[in-house]
Amino acid sequence: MSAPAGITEEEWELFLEETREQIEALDAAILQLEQTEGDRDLLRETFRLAHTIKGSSAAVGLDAMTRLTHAMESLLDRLRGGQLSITLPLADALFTSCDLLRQMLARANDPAFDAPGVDAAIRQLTEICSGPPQEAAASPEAPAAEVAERRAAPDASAGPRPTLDAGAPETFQPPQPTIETAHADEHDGANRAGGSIRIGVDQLDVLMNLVGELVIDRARIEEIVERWRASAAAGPLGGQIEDVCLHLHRTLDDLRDEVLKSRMVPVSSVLRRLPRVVRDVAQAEGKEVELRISGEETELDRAVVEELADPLVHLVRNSVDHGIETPDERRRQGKSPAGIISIAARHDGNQILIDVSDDGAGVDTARVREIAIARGLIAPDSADALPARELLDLIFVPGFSTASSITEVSGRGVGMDIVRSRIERVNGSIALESEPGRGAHFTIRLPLTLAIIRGLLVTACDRAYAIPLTAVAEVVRVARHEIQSVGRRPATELHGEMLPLVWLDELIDGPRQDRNADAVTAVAVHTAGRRIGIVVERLLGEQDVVIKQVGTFLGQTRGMAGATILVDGRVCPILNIAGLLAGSALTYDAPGSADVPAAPGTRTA
Amino acid sequence: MRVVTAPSGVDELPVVCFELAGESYAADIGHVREIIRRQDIAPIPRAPDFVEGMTNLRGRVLPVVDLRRLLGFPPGEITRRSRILIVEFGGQLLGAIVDAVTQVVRLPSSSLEPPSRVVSRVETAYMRGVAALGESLVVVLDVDRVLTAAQSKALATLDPQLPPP
Repeated sequence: MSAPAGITEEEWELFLEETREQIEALDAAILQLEQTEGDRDLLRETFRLAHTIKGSSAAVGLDAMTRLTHAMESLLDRLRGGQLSITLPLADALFTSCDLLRQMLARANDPAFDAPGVDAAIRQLTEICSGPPQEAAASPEAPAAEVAERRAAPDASAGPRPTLDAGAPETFQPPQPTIETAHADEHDGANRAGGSIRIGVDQLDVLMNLVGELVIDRARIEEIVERWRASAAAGPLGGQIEDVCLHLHRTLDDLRDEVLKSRMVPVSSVLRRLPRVVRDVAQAEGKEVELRISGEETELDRAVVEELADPLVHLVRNSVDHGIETPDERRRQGKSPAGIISIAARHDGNQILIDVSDDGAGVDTARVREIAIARGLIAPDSADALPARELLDLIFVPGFSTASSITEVSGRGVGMDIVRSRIERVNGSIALESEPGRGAHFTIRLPLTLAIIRGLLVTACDRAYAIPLTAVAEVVRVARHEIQSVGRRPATELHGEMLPLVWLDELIDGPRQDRNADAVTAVAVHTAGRRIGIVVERLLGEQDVVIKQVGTFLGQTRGMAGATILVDGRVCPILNIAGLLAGSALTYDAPGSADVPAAPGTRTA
Repeated sequence: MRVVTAPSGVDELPVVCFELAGESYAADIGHVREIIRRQDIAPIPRAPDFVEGMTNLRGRVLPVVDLRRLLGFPPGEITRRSRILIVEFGGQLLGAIVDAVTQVVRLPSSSLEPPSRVVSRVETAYMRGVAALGESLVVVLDVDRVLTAAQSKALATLDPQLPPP
């Protein structure tokens, strides 16, 4: 990253971050203008945002950005003055400009970058601006017919409109983002004096890391003190040390909570992008969609929010494209012509739940079955036996969404498998429920933070592994005679459903534990609506797991979501169950492990 | 371990000498941050075979590679002489297991001969050169190249499917 001459790196970073926020706010404001026609306050705010971006881009020498925002500003000024009113081409021109601003900001580090279409956009803005004033305005010479024509005319001069996928969301995160610690009104671009400062996210990461260190040390100290109290003649000193430990424990908990809190941002920062996505896709597809968002003030870790952005855009896009029917079709089915997509975010214990649902056609399970068979994901004979939930889960399997299901709008090579792996990468999970004709409902579960999670410690091959508690449904003890073979893989009955069993030692490619034990311990995990029992050697218990970065040398390891350091100083991998399963031979009709004992009463297929 | 100092005034290359499968190797000391005894290493599920696992270096979790496997030698035994070289690579630290560390010496640059396969089974691309050290020869490894090759191998096997974050 390189700041232009005459500007310090810090000023440059600040510019990138602030301008990114302002462009998002501007985009949201234009959308609101389009939908509500806008009151004077909103118009003033929109104008102010364009004006601010113009000023700051001029200060850092981004000329194209300055020229474009200048043209936007002129147009907004006329809107504000009542000489123009909002029309579809006018809103489109402003949106196109916002997209261009995003692109230019994303490539601001590249002095050679010349955003295509800037001049065309400026021309268009100027044209609309200098067009005949409307009759409502002070100038009397505007013929009403011409205004109506302008309103309806599709605008051919706009040039190809950069879509949201065309790189912008992928790239527009500045390299050194900052968080407004006090969550000042995000539309208020200027730093207010109300006791808030900007801190680099990397600095917060350092703080969190230090807290993590202390949490581990605390656990070690407590263990030592406990042993000392139990063994030696600790005397009166023992009581004092226990007091100190207790106080240390509480203070450190508070410190951890405060540092975690400082990393929290409202989920609205990603939800803000969605109305625009819905508008664009609905318009392209000739659909009417109402987007209802609730719980946008719900807060979660900035790092989680960032990982959430792309999957959410994809889900919403997908809902408009595949879920919501055309207005005609909806009328035929007795639904209101406009489809509804709801996004609701809320806290659930130390997790965040985000529901994305629509009242569209739902998922056609027969079609899913067809595609899955055609792609070789399931065998035709086993397809019928699959329960609906497992069938729905197939859309998350890599290789499911390919050629024929990719359309201009929702495809772009990003399948549901990528959505799932992005969410699971931050120790979250996603599940789908659907009722034909009634709509689809995705439930995303995320941890509040990426720094410390609750984990279940288990062992396999005599080593400890942590399973994120978000993935764990329950722990069960399974007697040997309760293990059956279903579709050639071991399974047991749990709450009236079959729970496939997989041995953890096999998943991690370690030496196999005794398969003839009288009973085994299985951790029932859910990965995307599907439940699997992971058979472990021993259960060590539940605890706070401080997630340590392992560095990028090994890249993104599939079976591991990170690592932690145990009280004894040993490193313990945090398992990514879905990743482990995806990489294993355990597919829907692969034969189960050959060395699973044939328990009495076992059906052998 | 003895530290040998060559007569100063000449252009020198300080190196850490170590053993791998009975042969002598050396690495530019500029790459090596420290040398620790072999300690607990947690295996990484489904990692390539040359990745030994992860270890705790004063609260940091570092990946550890087995230099024997990396260079195509058969796996070795862990002995009391086994060491982990903590090396810096691409701005990050990682561990490399060697059979033993023998000495730290300054090699006169003039003594460094071009790579040759005669003295070692290691590919010449991974060598910076060969030098005489007393009676025997030592192969000076190009640590950056060895680890770059390892990294691309690791990335290829670990997760070909995910796009970058």
